[in-house]
Amino acid sequence: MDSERIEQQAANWFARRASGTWTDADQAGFDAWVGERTAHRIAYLRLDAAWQHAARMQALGAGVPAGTIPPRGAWGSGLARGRQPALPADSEAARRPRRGALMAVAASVLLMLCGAGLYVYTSHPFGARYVTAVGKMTTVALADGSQVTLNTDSSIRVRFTAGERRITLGKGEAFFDVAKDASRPFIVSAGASRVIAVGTKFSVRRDGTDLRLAVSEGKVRVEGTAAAMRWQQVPASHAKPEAAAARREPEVLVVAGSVLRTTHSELLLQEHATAEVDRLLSWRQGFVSFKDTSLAAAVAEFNRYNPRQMIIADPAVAAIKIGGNFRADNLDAFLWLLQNGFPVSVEQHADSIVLRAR
Amino acid sequence: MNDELDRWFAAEILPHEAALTRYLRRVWLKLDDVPDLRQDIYVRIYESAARERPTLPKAFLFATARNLMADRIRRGRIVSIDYSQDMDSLQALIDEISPEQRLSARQELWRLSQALDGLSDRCRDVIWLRRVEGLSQREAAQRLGMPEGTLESHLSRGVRALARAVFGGASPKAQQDAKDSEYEAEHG
Repeated sequence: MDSERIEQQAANWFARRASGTWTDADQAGFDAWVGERTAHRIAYLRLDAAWQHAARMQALGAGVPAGTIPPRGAWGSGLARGRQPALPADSEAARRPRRGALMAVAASVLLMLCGAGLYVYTSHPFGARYVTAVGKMTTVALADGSQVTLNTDSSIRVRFTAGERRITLGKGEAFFDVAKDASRPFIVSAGASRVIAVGTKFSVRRDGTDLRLAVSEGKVRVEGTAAAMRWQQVPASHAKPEAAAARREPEVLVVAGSVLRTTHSELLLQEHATAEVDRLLSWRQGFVSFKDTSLAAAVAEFNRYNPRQMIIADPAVAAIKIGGNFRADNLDAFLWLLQNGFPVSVEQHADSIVLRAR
Repeated sequence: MNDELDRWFAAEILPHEAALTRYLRRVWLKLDDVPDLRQDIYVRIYESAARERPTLPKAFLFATARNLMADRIRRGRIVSIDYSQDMDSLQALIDEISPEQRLSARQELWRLSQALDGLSDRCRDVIWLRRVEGLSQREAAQRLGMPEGTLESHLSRGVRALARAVFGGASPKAQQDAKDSEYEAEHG
């Protein structure tokens, strides 16, 4: 990136200038660099101004004997009052894997990172429970160093023991960045299915008994309680259930770049689908992403994020195909696009939005 | 760097960097573009202010940001459908930006302490001796038993981190508003 490179150059000039061995040749080189582009000048003046501001840090040295460099975090609790949890979830201490009998309790305590809109129910034998409200998303750091990002209107229960790490997805969708621990498998149960990982990244979405799994790193194993799950393997971009012959398998291995969809009776595995995985994970940046998606499906997706529900009144409207990326919380922009780009009229009511053909 | 324009820029524009960055991240689809966008916005502001200083620097900053994004969308450097929504919402979104509060001295010190503690050990030592104790490069190098060239590269890295702390706003986690979250015990 251009700006990244320029900032690096500016920082090098800054350090050179502060070195105390600044020569005429340095000055000439510096003048030429600064004069070359306004962006150079700004990058330099920004660092220079930051250095001036940083003089305030001298307050940190008050009471510290000269020649002593205090350890990290030695700044007194008063400094941080009300600004941060005492143990930020991404700190080294919180990420360090912990084992032992008190795992569930440790999980409850360490899981107290409260993101906006995250409800935490905690500390009992069944483990901690996390719930997000409609339109909210949050990331939780678990005691073993794993991280879970919960999408809108979702709930999970976390229970760690010495032998396994167990997450139950009650509803909604969650992305898991799993810390490696071969001795304790990381198991996500959703309805009758179980997704088992050792160290990997994947997202699980549950709609009633239906499941959708997108794996972005490593691999996971999926098991169902039904003795035999029917599943079909299809090439990327031809993900149609009827496209391939059915086989019987008690469990399925899903590797990075794959998407697995299950319903009560069927299972569809789509491999070599990195773009599809990316699209299915775009919610973590706050986007919903559509590609040749029916408006019925797009509306259902938006409705997960917004308390005001859209209702499609005409089948013709439901069948319209759309594509693109939208902020999940920016319903107005989506409606604006529908009205201006498609033959759709939008009726706004207090708690619903009705879409009709026009 | 004593030019009056530079000082104006540092005093009136840079303090809004955190708000500007939030705004860009909110409306621009490709987050990787944000640092370059911000740079281009700064260049426009600076060059425009060289001719005439805007009376309302913050409003001017965000208007410039909006215009620059609109230009890029029109020039079609990017896929249009993903952004068509943003064209329309650029204006509205500006109003959603909370007025940037000047950081209190205490908050700024807190941020700086976090940035300092986030540095690698050697880099942190260098910044401490140079900025807090005010040692020269040679003195600091002797104290740390480090070649001056190495010290210089640590300083280079450290000053960038300090700039992010001073202007770039705190980490996303620190911006989370604790009061929005709730915590309660479940029975059973």
